[in-house]
Amino acid sequence: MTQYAVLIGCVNDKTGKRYAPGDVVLKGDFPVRVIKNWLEIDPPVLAPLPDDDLPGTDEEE
Amino acid sequence: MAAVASGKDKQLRYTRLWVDSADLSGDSRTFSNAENTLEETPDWGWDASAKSFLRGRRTVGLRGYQAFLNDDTARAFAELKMTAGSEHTGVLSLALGGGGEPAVPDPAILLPFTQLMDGASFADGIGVLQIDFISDAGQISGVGKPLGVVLQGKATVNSTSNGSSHDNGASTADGWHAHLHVFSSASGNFSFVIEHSTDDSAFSTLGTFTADGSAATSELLTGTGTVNRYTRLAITRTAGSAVIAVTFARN
Repeated sequence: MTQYAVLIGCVNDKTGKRYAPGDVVLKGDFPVRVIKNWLEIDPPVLAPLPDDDLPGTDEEE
Repeated sequence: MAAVASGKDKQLRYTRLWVDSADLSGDSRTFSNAENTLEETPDWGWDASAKSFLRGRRTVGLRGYQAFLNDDTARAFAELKMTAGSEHTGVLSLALGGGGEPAVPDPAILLPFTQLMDGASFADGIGVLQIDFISDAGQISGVGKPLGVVLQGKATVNSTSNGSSHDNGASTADGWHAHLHVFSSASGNFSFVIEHSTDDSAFSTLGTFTADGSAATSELLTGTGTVNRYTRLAITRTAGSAVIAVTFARN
Protein backbone atom coordinates (compact mmCIF):
# COMPACT_ATOMS: atom_id res chain seq x y z
CA MET A 1 0.00 0.00 0.00
CA THR A 2 1.22 3.40 -0.84
CA GLN A 3 -1.55 5.65 0.36
CA TYR A 4 -3.41 6.11 3.60
CA ALA A 5 -6.60 7.82 4.65
CA VAL A 6 -6.17 10.33 7.46
CA LEU A 7 -8.45 9.55 10.38
CA ILE A 8 -6.95 11.95 12.92
CA GLY A 9 -5.27 15.26 12.15
CA CYS A 10 -1.50 15.13 11.88
CA VAL A 11 1.42 17.28 10.87
CA ASN A 12 4.95 16.87 9.61
CA ASP A 13 7.05 19.55 11.28
CA LYS A 14 9.84 19.09 8.74
CA THR A 15 7.64 20.01 5.80
CA GLY A 16 5.11 22.08 7.74
CA LYS A 17 2.28 20.27 6.03
CA ARG A 18 -0.83 19.50 8.04
CA TYR A 19 -3.33 16.79 7.22
CA ALA A 20 -6.96 16.80 8.29
CA PRO A 21 -9.33 13.85 8.56
CA GLY A 22 -10.34 12.85 5.05
CA ASP A 23 -7.01 13.80 3.51
CA VAL A 24 -4.69 11.24 1.95
CA VAL A 25 -1.15 10.63 3.13
CA LEU A 26 1.29 9.22 0.61
CA LYS A 27 4.02 6.77 1.43
CA GLY A 28 6.98 9.04 1.87
CA ASP A 29 5.04 11.92 3.42
CA PHE A 30 6.12 10.58 6.78
CA PRO A 31 8.85 8.19 7.95
CA VAL A 32 8.01 4.50 7.68
CA ARG A 33 8.15 4.07 11.44
CA VAL A 34 5.70 6.90 11.98
CA ILE A 35 3.23 5.47 9.47
CA LYS A 36 3.53 2.07 11.11
CA ASN A 37 2.84 3.61 14.53
CA TRP A 38 -0.12 5.55 13.21
CA LEU A 39 -1.65 2.44 11.66
CA GLU A 40 -1.30 0.42 14.84
CA ILE A 41 -1.94 3.00 17.56
CA ASP A 42 -5.22 3.12 19.47
CA PRO A 43 -7.04 5.03 18.07
CA PRO A 44 -5.40 4.82 14.64
CA VAL A 45 -4.32 7.98 12.91
CA LEU A 46 -4.20 6.44 9.44
CA ALA A 47 -6.05 3.70 7.60
CA PRO A 48 -4.56 1.95 4.57
CA LEU A 49 -6.14 2.68 1.22
CA PRO A 50 -6.22 -0.19 -1.27
CA ASP A 51 -4.32 0.81 -4.36
CA ASP A 52 -7.34 0.48 -6.58
CA ASP A 53 -9.18 3.02 -4.46
CA LEU A 54 -6.65 5.74 -5.16
CA PRO A 55 -8.36 9.12 -5.66
CA GLY A 56 -8.62 10.15 -9.30
CA THR A 57 -8.45 6.60 -10.56
CA ASP A 58 -11.25 6.09 -12.98
CA GLU A 59 -12.65 2.66 -13.54
CA GLU A 60 -13.18 1.68 -17.09
CA GLU A 61 -16.70 0.60 -17.87
CA MET B 1 26.61 37.93 40.08
CA ALA B 2 22.95 37.82 41.01
CA ALA B 3 21.97 35.63 43.90
CA VAL B 4 20.27 32.43 42.86
CA ALA B 5 17.25 31.24 44.76
CA SER B 6 17.88 27.89 46.28
CA GLY B 7 15.85 25.02 47.62
CA LYS B 8 12.75 26.09 49.46
CA ASP B 9 13.04 29.64 48.20
CA LYS B 10 12.70 28.38 44.63
CA GLN B 11 9.53 26.56 45.61
CA LEU B 12 8.20 29.67 47.26
CA ARG B 13 8.87 31.92 44.34
CA TYR B 14 8.07 29.75 41.36
CA THR B 15 5.01 27.77 42.25
CA ARG B 16 1.76 28.57 40.54
CA LEU B 17 -1.72 27.54 41.55
CA TRP B 18 -4.21 27.84 38.72
CA VAL B 19 -7.84 27.21 39.62
CA ASP B 20 -10.42 27.45 36.88
CA SER B 21 -9.66 30.78 35.23
CA ALA B 22 -8.03 32.25 38.31
CA ASP B 23 -4.37 32.44 39.09
CA LEU B 24 -4.25 31.96 42.84
CA SER B 25 -0.50 32.04 43.00
CA GLY B 26 0.41 34.23 45.91
CA ASP B 27 3.56 35.73 47.21
CA SER B 28 3.15 33.89 50.42
CA ARG B 29 3.52 30.16 50.10
CA THR B 30 5.05 27.49 52.12
CA PHE B 31 5.59 23.84 51.52
CA SER B 32 6.12 21.10 53.97
CA ASN B 33 5.73 17.40 54.06
CA ALA B 34 2.93 16.35 56.31
CA GLU B 35 0.97 13.20 56.94
CA ASN B 36 -2.28 15.07 57.39
CA THR B 37 -2.76 17.29 54.45
CA LEU B 38 -5.78 19.38 55.32
CA GLU B 39 -5.59 22.16 57.85
CA GLU B 40 -8.10 24.90 58.56
CA THR B 41 -7.91 27.96 60.71
CA PRO B 42 -11.13 28.13 62.74
CA ASP B 43 -11.82 31.81 62.31
CA TRP B 44 -14.69 31.78 59.86
CA GLY B 45 -18.38 31.70 60.49
CA TRP B 46 -21.53 30.35 58.92
CA ASP B 47 -25.24 30.95 59.24
CA ALA B 48 -28.22 29.17 57.85
CA SER B 49 -28.81 31.37 54.84
CA ALA B 50 -25.45 32.60 53.79
CA LYS B 51 -21.88 31.67 54.18
CA SER B 52 -19.58 34.42 55.31
CA PHE B 53 -15.87 34.05 55.46
CA LEU B 54 -13.50 36.04 57.54
CA ARG B 55 -10.14 36.85 56.17
CA GLY B 56 -7.78 34.14 57.15
CA ARG B 57 -5.19 31.70 56.17
CA ARG B 58 -6.09 28.44 54.56
CA THR B 59 -4.02 25.51 53.63
CA VAL B 60 -4.87 22.75 51.24
CA GLY B 61 -3.03 19.52 51.24
CA LEU B 62 -1.92 17.78 48.12
CA ARG B 63 -0.48 14.38 48.73
CA GLY B 64 1.82 15.38 51.50
CA TYR B 65 2.37 18.99 50.55
CA GLN B 66 0.61 22.03 51.88
CA ALA B 67 0.09 25.24 50.01
CA PHE B 68 -1.50 28.45 51.09
CA LEU B 69 -4.30 29.53 48.81
CA ASN B 70 -4.34 33.00 50.23
CA ASP B 71 -2.58 34.75 53.00
CA ASP B 72 -3.94 36.96 55.69
CA THR B 73 -3.30 40.25 54.01
CA ALA B 74 -5.39 41.97 51.39
CA ARG B 75 -4.58 40.62 47.96
CA ALA B 76 -5.89 41.25 44.50
CA PHE B 77 -7.14 37.80 43.73
CA ALA B 78 -9.39 37.20 40.81
CA GLU B 79 -12.94 37.09 42.03
CA LEU B 80 -14.59 33.68 42.10
CA LYS B 81 -18.35 33.70 42.11
CA MET B 82 -20.96 31.01 42.09
CA THR B 83 -24.66 31.01 41.58
CA ALA B 84 -26.23 30.22 44.94
CA GLY B 85 -27.33 26.62 45.14
CA SER B 86 -25.27 25.48 42.20
CA GLU B 87 -22.48 22.97 42.13
CA HIS B 88 -19.31 23.81 40.34
CA THR B 89 -16.89 21.52 38.65
CA GLY B 90 -13.53 22.85 37.69
CA VAL B 91 -9.87 22.13 37.38
CA LEU B 92 -6.83 22.92 39.46
CA SER B 93 -3.25 22.86 38.26
CA LEU B 94 -0.34 23.23 40.60
CA ALA B 95 2.70 24.03 38.52
CA LEU B 96 6.13 23.71 40.08
CA GLY B 97 8.60 25.91 38.29
CA GLY B 98 11.63 25.18 40.40
CA GLY B 99 14.11 27.74 39.29
CA GLY B 100 11.78 29.86 37.17
CA GLU B 101 8.30 30.46 35.88
CA PRO B 102 6.62 27.09 35.25
CA ALA B 103 7.06 26.00 31.67
CA VAL B 104 7.57 22.81 29.65
CA PRO B 105 8.69 20.36 31.12
CA ASP B 106 8.14 21.43 34.73
CA PRO B 107 6.01 19.07 36.83
CA ALA B 108 2.41 19.84 37.49
CA ILE B 109 -0.29 18.32 39.62
CA LEU B 110 -3.66 18.11 37.94
CA LEU B 111 -6.72 17.85 40.13
CA PRO B 112 -10.24 18.18 38.87
CA PHE B 113 -12.36 19.38 41.75
CA THR B 114 -15.96 18.75 42.28
CA GLN B 115 -17.41 21.62 44.21
CA LEU B 116 -16.72 25.11 45.35
CA MET B 117 -18.46 26.52 48.35
CA ASP B 118 -22.12 26.68 47.46
CA GLY B 119 -23.40 30.22 47.13
CA ALA B 120 -20.09 31.81 48.00
CA SER B 121 -18.68 34.99 46.59
CA PHE B 122 -15.02 35.74 46.94
CA ALA B 123 -13.87 39.31 47.02
CA ASP B 124 -10.38 40.64 46.94
CA GLY B 125 -8.28 39.45 49.79
CA ILE B 126 -10.79 36.95 51.08
CA GLY B 127 -11.03 33.52 49.64
CA VAL B 128 -11.78 29.98 50.60
CA LEU B 129 -11.66 27.08 48.27
CA GLN B 130 -13.08 23.72 49.16
CA ILE B 131 -11.94 20.94 46.93
CA ASP B 132 -12.46 17.22 46.97
CA PHE B 133 -9.03 15.83 46.50
CA ILE B 134 -7.50 12.66 45.31
CA SER B 135 -8.00 9.39 47.03
CA ASP B 136 -5.34 7.67 49.08
CA ALA B 137 -4.47 5.61 46.04
CA GLY B 138 -3.42 8.78 44.31
CA GLN B 139 -6.01 8.68 41.59
CA ILE B 140 -9.31 10.32 40.86
CA SER B 141 -11.84 7.88 39.56
CA GLY B 142 -12.27 8.29 35.87
CA VAL B 143 -9.38 10.72 35.47
CA GLY B 144 -6.14 9.10 36.48
CA LYS B 145 -2.87 9.98 38.13
CA PRO B 146 -2.52 13.64 39.03
CA LEU B 147 1.19 14.04 38.38
CA GLY B 148 1.90 15.54 35.00
CA VAL B 149 3.76 18.34 33.30
CA VAL B 150 3.30 21.89 32.20
CA LEU B 151 2.69 22.03 28.45
CA GLN B 152 2.13 25.76 28.40
CA GLY B 153 3.18 28.09 31.18
CA LYS B 154 0.88 31.01 31.89
CA ALA B 155 1.43 33.35 28.97
CA THR B 156 -0.29 35.58 26.47
CA VAL B 157 -0.82 33.73 23.24
CA ASN B 158 -1.34 35.80 20.11
CA SER B 159 -0.06 33.67 17.28
CA THR B 160 -0.20 30.21 15.81
CA SER B 161 2.49 27.95 17.22
CA ASN B 162 3.37 24.32 17.73
CA GLY B 163 4.70 24.83 21.22
CA SER B 164 7.61 23.13 22.95
CA SER B 165 7.35 19.38 23.26
CA HIS B 166 7.79 17.28 26.36
CA ASP B 167 9.73 14.02 26.18
CA ASN B 168 8.22 11.40 28.46
CA GLY B 169 10.94 8.92 27.53
CA ALA B 170 8.42 6.33 26.43
CA SER B 171 4.88 5.97 25.27
CA THR B 172 2.08 4.97 27.62
CA ALA B 173 -1.14 3.13 27.01
CA ASP B 174 -3.54 4.06 29.81
CA GLY B 175 -5.06 7.28 28.55
CA TRP B 176 -4.48 10.86 29.65
CA HIS B 177 -6.04 14.06 30.95
CA ALA B 178 -5.24 17.71 30.47
CA HIS B 179 -6.27 21.10 31.83
CA LEU B 180 -6.73 24.35 29.98
CA HIS B 181 -6.91 27.55 32.02
CA VAL B 182 -8.01 30.67 30.17
CA PHE B 183 -7.33 33.58 32.48
CA SER B 184 -8.44 36.37 30.19
CA SER B 185 -9.20 37.09 26.57
CA ALA B 186 -8.92 40.06 24.23
CA SER B 187 -11.26 38.95 21.48
CA GLY B 188 -9.37 35.71 21.35
CA ASN B 189 -10.33 32.95 18.97
CA PHE B 190 -8.09 29.93 19.03
CA SER B 191 -7.87 26.23 18.65
CA PHE B 192 -5.93 24.48 21.44
CA VAL B 193 -4.85 20.97 20.52
CA ILE B 194 -2.82 18.42 22.46
CA GLU B 195 -0.57 16.57 20.02
CA HIS B 196 1.71 13.56 20.44
CA SER B 197 4.54 12.00 18.49
CA THR B 198 6.96 9.09 18.42
CA ASP B 199 9.85 11.08 16.95
CA ASP B 200 9.25 14.71 18.00
CA SER B 201 8.76 15.64 14.36
CA ALA B 202 5.55 14.05 13.11
CA PHE B 203 2.66 14.80 15.43
CA SER B 204 -0.95 13.72 15.48
CA THR B 205 -3.88 15.08 17.45
CA LEU B 206 -4.48 13.58 20.85
CA GLY B 207 -7.35 15.84 21.86
CA THR B 208 -8.82 19.25 21.16
CA PHE B 209 -10.13 21.55 23.86
CA THR B 210 -13.64 22.86 23.34
CA ALA B 211 -12.74 26.24 24.83
CA ASP B 212 -11.55 28.64 22.15
CA GLY B 213 -9.92 31.32 24.27
CA SER B 214 -12.74 33.80 23.74
CA ALA B 215 -13.58 34.04 27.45
CA ALA B 216 -12.13 33.16 30.82
CA THR B 217 -12.81 29.54 31.59
CA SER B 218 -11.20 26.22 32.41
CA GLU B 219 -11.57 22.80 30.91
CA LEU B 220 -10.66 19.21 31.67
CA LEU B 221 -9.98 17.09 28.61
CA THR B 222 -9.52 13.34 28.82
CA GLY B 223 -8.73 10.51 26.45
CA THR B 224 -8.08 6.80 26.40
CA GLY B 225 -5.50 4.65 24.72
CA THR B 226 -1.92 5.27 23.74
CA VAL B 227 0.00 8.46 24.31
CA ASN B 228 3.22 8.54 22.34
CA ARG B 229 6.52 9.59 23.80
CA TYR B 230 6.38 13.32 22.97
CA THR B 231 3.49 15.67 23.71
CA ARG B 232 2.91 19.35 23.06
CA LEU B 233 0.25 22.03 22.85
CA ALA B 234 -0.43 23.25 19.33
CA ILE B 235 -2.15 26.62 19.09
CA THR B 236 -3.95 27.89 16.01
CA ARG B 237 -4.91 31.55 16.19
CA THR B 238 -7.87 32.96 14.34
CA ALA B 239 -8.14 36.28 16.13
CA GLY B 240 -7.14 38.27 19.17
CA SER B 241 -5.12 37.11 22.14
CA ALA B 242 -5.65 35.26 25.39
CA VAL B 243 -3.75 34.44 28.54
CA ILE B 244 -3.68 30.68 29.05
CA ALA B 245 -1.92 27.81 30.78
CA VAL B 246 -2.08 24.10 29.99
CA THR B 247 -1.07 21.06 31.99
CA PHE B 248 -1.05 17.43 30.91
CA ALA B 249 -0.87 14.09 32.68
CA ARG B 250 -0.72 10.48 31.58
CA ASN B 251 -2.93 8.06 33.45
